[in-house]
Amino acid sequence: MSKSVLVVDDSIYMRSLIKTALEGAGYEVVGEAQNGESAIDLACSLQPDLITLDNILPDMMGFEILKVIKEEGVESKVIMVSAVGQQTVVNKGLSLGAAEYIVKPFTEEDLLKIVDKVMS
Amino acid sequence: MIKRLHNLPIRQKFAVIIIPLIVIILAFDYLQVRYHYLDYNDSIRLNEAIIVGIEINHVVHEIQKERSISSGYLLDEGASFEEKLLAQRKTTDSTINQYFIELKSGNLDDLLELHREDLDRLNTYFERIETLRGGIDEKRITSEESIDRFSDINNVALNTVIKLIDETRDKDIAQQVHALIYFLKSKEFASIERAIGTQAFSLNQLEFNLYNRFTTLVANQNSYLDAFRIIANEDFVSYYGRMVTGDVIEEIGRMREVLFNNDSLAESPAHWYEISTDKINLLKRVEDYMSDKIQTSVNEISRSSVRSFWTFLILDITIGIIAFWLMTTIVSNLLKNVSILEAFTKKISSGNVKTKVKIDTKDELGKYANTFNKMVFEIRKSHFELRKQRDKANFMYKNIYGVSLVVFENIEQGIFLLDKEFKISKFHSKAMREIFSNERISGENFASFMRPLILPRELEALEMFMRHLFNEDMDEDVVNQLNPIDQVKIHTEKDGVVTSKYIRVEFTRIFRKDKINNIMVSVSDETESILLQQHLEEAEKKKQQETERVLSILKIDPSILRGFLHNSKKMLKGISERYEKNSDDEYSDLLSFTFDIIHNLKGNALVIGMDLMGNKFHEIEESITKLQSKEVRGKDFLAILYEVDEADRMITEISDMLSKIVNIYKKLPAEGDAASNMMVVDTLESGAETISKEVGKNVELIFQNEDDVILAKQYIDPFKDIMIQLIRNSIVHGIENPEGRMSAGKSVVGRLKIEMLRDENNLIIRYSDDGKGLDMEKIKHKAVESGIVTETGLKSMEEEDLKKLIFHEGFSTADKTDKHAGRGRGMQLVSGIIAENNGSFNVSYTQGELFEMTIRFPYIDQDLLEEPAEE
Repeated sequence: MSKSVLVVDDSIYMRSLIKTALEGAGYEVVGEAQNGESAIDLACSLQPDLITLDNILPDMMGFEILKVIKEEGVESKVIMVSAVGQQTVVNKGLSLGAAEYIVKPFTEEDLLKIVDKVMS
Repeated sequence: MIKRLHNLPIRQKFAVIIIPLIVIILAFDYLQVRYHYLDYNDSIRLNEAIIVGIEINHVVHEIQKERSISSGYLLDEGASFEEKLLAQRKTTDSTINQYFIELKSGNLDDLLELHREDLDRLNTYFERIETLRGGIDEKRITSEESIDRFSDINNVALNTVIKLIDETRDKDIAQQVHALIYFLKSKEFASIERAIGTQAFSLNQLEFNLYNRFTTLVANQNSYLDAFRIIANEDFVSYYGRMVTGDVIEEIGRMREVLFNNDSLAESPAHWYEISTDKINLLKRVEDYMSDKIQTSVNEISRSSVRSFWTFLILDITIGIIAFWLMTTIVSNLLKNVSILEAFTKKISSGNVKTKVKIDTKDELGKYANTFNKMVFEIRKSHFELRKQRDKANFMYKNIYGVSLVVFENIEQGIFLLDKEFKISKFHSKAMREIFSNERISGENFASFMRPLILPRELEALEMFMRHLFNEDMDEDVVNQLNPIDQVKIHTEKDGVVTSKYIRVEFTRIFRKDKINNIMVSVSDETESILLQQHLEEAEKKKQQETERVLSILKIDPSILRGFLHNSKKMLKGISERYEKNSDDEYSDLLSFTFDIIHNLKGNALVIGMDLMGNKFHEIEESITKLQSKEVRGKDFLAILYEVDEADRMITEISDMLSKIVNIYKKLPAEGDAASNMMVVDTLESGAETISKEVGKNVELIFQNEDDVILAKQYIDPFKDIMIQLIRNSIVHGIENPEGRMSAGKSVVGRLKIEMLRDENNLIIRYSDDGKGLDMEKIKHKAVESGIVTETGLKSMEEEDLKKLIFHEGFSTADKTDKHAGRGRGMQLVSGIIAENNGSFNVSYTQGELFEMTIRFPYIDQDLLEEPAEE
């Protein structure tokens, strides 16, 4: 059974990029969220194996979402997706229980390498 | 360690403080200069890098445009893009040329050297453009391939820019440069998006791969824009917000959705290209704005770092010079002053007080110098004063000492001082040592000094008296009345001989500042005057007594006197015999017996006019009378007996005196010249003494004349001459030396004896000595040697004749001759004189004990005692 993934990003192109890459590698993208609220809802309802969590969303910061879903008991692995120069934010996410992080822009290979590492 | 530091000279202490400071300052200074220099260097290089980078960016921008046009040309059969492409290629080449011109101009050696590899790589990529264009012209490559090839070139170009400008040490600049780079990347993706979009709209479709690529391009474009927004400064972000907005951007969004939905791509590729280009041109304006701004601020930084470098250097050098000047001035001044003070104190300590120190500064050292000068002045003053006093004291001392010494050496009084502990002063007159026969006088306690010399009770009194000497409450005259040694007898000892002396000791107080400071003691020896006085008194008394006795004797008839003396002696003896014999008698009987006798004697004495004895007996009679009036006891007789004894002694003395008088009369010569006889004896006595002294022997001459023989006048000279010879012979030959006598068990003093005797017809003179007698063997040997007799003659000689050999002419037993013996004349002279006076002699001896010679002369009758009586 393929691993389920929730992709959280406000950019449809980024969501598309991640989804294409992951499905090509055999993961099942079970949900997409473009803001924090839907991200938390979907994470709780879907309980995916993996969540790719963008750091900057229109309503919330990624680590805030992480904090909430961890409190809700979601056990999904979380990969922080961060822009350049957000090292402090990334560190916060890692300390809250994120499994890994990846800096945008990234290639398909970069992404899969990290996802495979986290999911293995 | 710390102690070592403290012990360093001041010069080294300064060095210890200053050298580390200088080292620290220089090191700090070096770091600062280096930092400023690096800053300055860095800003210059960054400035150049940015200029080059901007040129590269221009090239990238033109390649981006050429890439899109080339893609369109390849897809659109070239009709609508051909002209455009050619124009674009020219623009691209010119920017590349511009880049090379920039690269060659200016001083970029540092930069070129540092990025040689990157720049060379970029050049090879730029060279590929021509090949790529050939492929495009001949349509050997697809649109996608051309996009990739151009993108590769742009990628290398952008990475080169990143490397060129990635070195700045200014964090703010570095951040803005990075923002610019993210922006450029985003723009590059926008440019590729334009190319892909152009292709998609040209083909009216978007294949899967291309679709994915499109979404990735948009996603990455946004990602870089996000990064740009995060790190770029507010100015850049707001400029971007103002510029990249409006219809063009909305149109781009709409057409992107068309592409993303990928339904029917009916839009004109030229429209897409145009609006994409518009957007890219907007981006290009933002890029230029940022490039300008960065370049300006880099320029500014460069200028300011140059300025601050030089400012720092000039300030640094100026302050350094001033600090060094201040330091050397102050330290050298301090050291100079310290060494001046040091030299000064050395001079002072070596005794040169005439020196002065001069220090110009008004700091502590200057004050010390002033204080030193004052001190030295004071020292000099007191030095001078001391010297004056010393000279004065010296002068006085020499004079007083000289005078005192002369006085002390010559004064006949003992003079010294006593201090409060009664110690005798060091200086005392020379007479002290003579009076006390003692050399150790100085420093002795006076009482201890006197202890062995005086009686204990006198010493006790002296100690008591001494306690009052320093008592100022007691008048000096009163104290002196207590002086127990005002006149005292002392016993001094010198060389084992104890001498008694009478000394007078007087004490005088010596005041200094109204206090008794010392006691002057003077001692005078009064022994001679006192002894003389005593002697005179005794002599006077004795003389008077003797005169009285002699007178009392002379005025009484000698025969009556003799009878009285004889009777008195017998009677007094009778008393003592009665006492010894009848001790148990009645005392009163004994007393009356004594009284009777004494009374009788008193009467006799008075009858013959012997008042002296009469008075004595009277005294005894008085004593007895006193006893008779009371009860008599045994012990009362002792006094009587004593007095009787005294009377007896007086009678004996008178008898002695009488016989002396008789003797004098008897010695007188026949013609009344009795003195001549005495004088001969005196002459012989002194002759014997003289000779014995000269030969180192000890003799006494005894003259015995029991028969009161008086030499007739004609015999006096022969007697004297004979005796002189015999005495000489005895002393020289007969008497042994003292050692010899002692070993023979004889008394040390040799005995010579002259005895005068007489018989019916002859005057006999017997001379003897207790020497070694005659050495007959030696006499015989000498006689033969002298040629007096022959060996055979000797054997036939009688003993008496042998003895007379010594009287022969030329005989002597002495081994050498001197004035006393050895000429062989002495004994010959004796026998000659005897013969001349018709005398005879014989010699006897006991070997080792005695030599005796008896001389006889015919007696000439002259009764000298009776002659005056007859007259």
